[in-house]
Amino acid sequence: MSCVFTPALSSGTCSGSTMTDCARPERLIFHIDADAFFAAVEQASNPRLRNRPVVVCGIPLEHGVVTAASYEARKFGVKAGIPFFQARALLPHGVFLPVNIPKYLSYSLRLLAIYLQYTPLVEAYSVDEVFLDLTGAPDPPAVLGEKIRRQIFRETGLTVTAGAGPNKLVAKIATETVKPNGLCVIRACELPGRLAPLPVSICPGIGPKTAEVLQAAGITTLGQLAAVPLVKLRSVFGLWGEKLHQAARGINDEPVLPLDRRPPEKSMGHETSFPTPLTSARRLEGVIWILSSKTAFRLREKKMLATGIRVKTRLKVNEKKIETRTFQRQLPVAITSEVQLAPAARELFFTHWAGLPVKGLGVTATGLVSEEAARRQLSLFPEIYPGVNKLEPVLDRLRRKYGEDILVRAANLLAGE
Amino acid sequence: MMFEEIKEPVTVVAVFSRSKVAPRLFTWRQRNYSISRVTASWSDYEGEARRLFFSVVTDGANLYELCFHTRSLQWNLLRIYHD
Repeated sequence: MSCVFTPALSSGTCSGSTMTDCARPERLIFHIDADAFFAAVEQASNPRLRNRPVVVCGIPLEHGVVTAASYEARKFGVKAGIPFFQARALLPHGVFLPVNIPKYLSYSLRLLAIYLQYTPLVEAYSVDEVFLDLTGAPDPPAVLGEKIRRQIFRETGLTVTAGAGPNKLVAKIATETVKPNGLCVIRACELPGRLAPLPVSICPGIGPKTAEVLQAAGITTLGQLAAVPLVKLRSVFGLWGEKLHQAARGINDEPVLPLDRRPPEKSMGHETSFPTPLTSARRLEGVIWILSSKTAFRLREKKMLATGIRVKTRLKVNEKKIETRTFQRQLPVAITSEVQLAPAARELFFTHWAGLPVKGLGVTATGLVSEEAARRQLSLFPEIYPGVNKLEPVLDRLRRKYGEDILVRAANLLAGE
Repeated sequence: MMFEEIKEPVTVVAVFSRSKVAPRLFTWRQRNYSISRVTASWSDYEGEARRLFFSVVTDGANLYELCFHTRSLQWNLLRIYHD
C-alpha cells in the first residue's frame, strides 16, 4: 500500500496498487462525504468564518445540542451531540450558529448536480454522503476522485473526502481512513489485506455495543474478525454474524440505488430531542401529537397508510446513562390520520413509560402500504372516527398552501405547557 | 463573531433576470447598504410560497442575511453577522 500526500487540496491521498496489478475488470464505487458539512457550509457562505472554529447548534441555541462542529472547533473537544453550554465552555471564542437546514439542503443539491455530471448512478445516502457507481469510467480511480474533489471545491468552496472500492462497503471504509479532505482507493485484489489492520469500529454497522462484544473476545481489527469461523459468529450474533463475516473480508454486493430506483419506503416518522429531559405526562402527550401530526401529514402527501406504529424513547436512566428503548405494535387497520396515529402512539408510550425523564421521543408509522392496496381493508372499517375524512383534507390544503404550522390541533399545545 | 436577529422589512434594489434574483442594494433604518457580493443563496418553501435567502457582504465589514418572500413580494433583513 502506498500513500501520497498532495497538500494543495488533500490532507491525504491514499492509493493502492496500480491498474496493472488488478487487470481484472471490477466495479468502481465511490463514497463521498462532505467534511463537517453543516459547519463547512456556514464557512463557505461567510468568508469571515473560514479557518475559524464554527459550531452549528439546534434552536434555540441556549437550549440546543451541537449538530456539527468544524475541524477547527473539534480540536477543542467540541463534537456533535454535546449540549450548547458544554461546547461554549470548551470553546468560549467559538462562533455558534443556529442550524439552517434549507441552506444545507441547497448545498447538498449543488453537490448532487456535480455528481450527476459523472454518472446517473448516484445514491444519496444522507444529506452529505453519496455513493457513485463509476464502473467503466475511463480515468483511473485516483485521478477521477481528485477531479471530482477539485470540482466540488472550486464550485462550492467545500472539501470532501472520497473513498473508492469494488463495493459500497469498501468505499465507505476507504473514506473513513482518510478523513478529512482525503482520497483513498482500495482495489478488489488488495482485499482483505488492506482491511486487516483497520479497527472493527471503522466498519459500517459495527456500533459501540458490537465492538464491545468483539473486544471482550479479543477481536479489535477486521483481520482478527475475518479469522473468526462463521459458525462462531452466527452463534453469537445470529444472522448479523454472517454480515460481519462478509464485512470483515470486504464482501458486499448492494447496488448503488439512485432515487428513481429506490424501493418504496417501509416506514416514515419524526423524532425530537429535549435539551432538558421531560417528565410531564401532559407535555409528552403534546409532543406525541405533534410528531404524529407531522408523520400523518407526510403519509397522506405520499398516499400511504400505516399498518404498524413504533415509538422510540431516549430515557435518562441515571446521571451518566441515556438508554434508547423502542416499542412497536401492529395496528388493527391501515391508518393515515393523526387522530388515529396519535392515540395509538400515546397508548404505546404510556403503557411502557415508567416515569423516567425523557430525553428524546420519536413516532414512526411502519408497515406502509399504498392507499390503493389498503382501500379494500379500509372499506371494512368505514368511519371509525366520523369527521376525520372531511376535516383532514381541508387541513392538508391549508398546510400545503401556507406551511405545516399554519394550523395546529389544540392537543399539540400541551407540549409547550 | 456574533450574529444578531433582526427580522425587519427592508427596501431592496434587485435585478430579476432569467429566474435569477440578484440583490444589489438595501435600505435599512433609513441607511443605504450597497451589496458588493452575494456569498450564498438558498431557498425553501413556506407552504406553496418560495422564499429566497441571500448572504450578502456590503462595503462595510458585516455580513447580512436577506429573505425575499415570493408570495408577499416582501424583503426582510433576517440577521447581521459581526465581530
